[in-house]
Amino acid sequence: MDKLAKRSDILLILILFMLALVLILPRFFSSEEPLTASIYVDGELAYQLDLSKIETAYEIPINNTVIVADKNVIRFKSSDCKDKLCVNTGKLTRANGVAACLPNRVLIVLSGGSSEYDAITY
Amino acid sequence: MKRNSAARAALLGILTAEALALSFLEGFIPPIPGMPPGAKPGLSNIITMFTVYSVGWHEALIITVLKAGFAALTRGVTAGLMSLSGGVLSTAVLILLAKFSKGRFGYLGISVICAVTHNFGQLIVSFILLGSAAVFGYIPFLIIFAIITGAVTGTVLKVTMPVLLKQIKFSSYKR
Repeated sequence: MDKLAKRSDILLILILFMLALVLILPRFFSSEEPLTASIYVDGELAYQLDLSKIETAYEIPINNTVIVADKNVIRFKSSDCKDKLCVNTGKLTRANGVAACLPNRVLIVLSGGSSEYDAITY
Repeated sequence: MKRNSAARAALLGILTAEALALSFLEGFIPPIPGMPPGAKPGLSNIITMFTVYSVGWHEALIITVLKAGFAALTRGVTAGLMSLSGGVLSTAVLILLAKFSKGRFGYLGISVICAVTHNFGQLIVSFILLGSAAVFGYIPFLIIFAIITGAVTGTVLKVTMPVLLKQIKFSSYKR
């Protein structure tokens, strides 16, 4: 039996690992505080919330899911889907954070920087 | 070497059952913190790779499609679509590698490539379903996860393949 890994295997893994590192690096420099949450349904922007301006938590029921928005944090509270991956994603607190419910096609994306308005409903 | 069709059907049945059992058992693994939700080790890729190298690529594709059907039945249409897109893309790449890479990569490298392409296929479907490029932000984490899971499945295959090949005497691709 020959070796467990060929040289090309190791090289491939190293290249992939470097690629991932290069793609991750910018995130460590982009954690600006005022967070904006964008909620998409079926690919269309449905809500845009300035999370830094929220005083008391509130729920947003949307497309068979319930989203809870609080100061600088947002998460899926519940969903009628089978796998509950969206709920298990947990809290989003950083820019570039993403939580999605694929069966219901609801997507939350966090971005850095404050928006002009507290909340926009589309 | 051609064996009789009954033996082939029986073997295909066993392999399919094993692939289904592995992907079903994976469902019990709790979400891994820091990793994209729903990320799984892809243990059934062991079966797919074994099938491509020892039985044939048609059979590997059949198992992949059946596995997606099983996911659709047990975990819903979205899970089925995710399984189908990831599975078919990675199996197609696997078949091409088995035929044309001429032993350039070992099982380790090939299963890492399969894991990466599997994740990429799923990412494309989630991009289509959600209509947002934000999902591509998962790419670096998926690559790292694929390296780990691909290394696990590749190593398992490397260790078990010689033993399994002794049991089944027909091999369609030389390795």
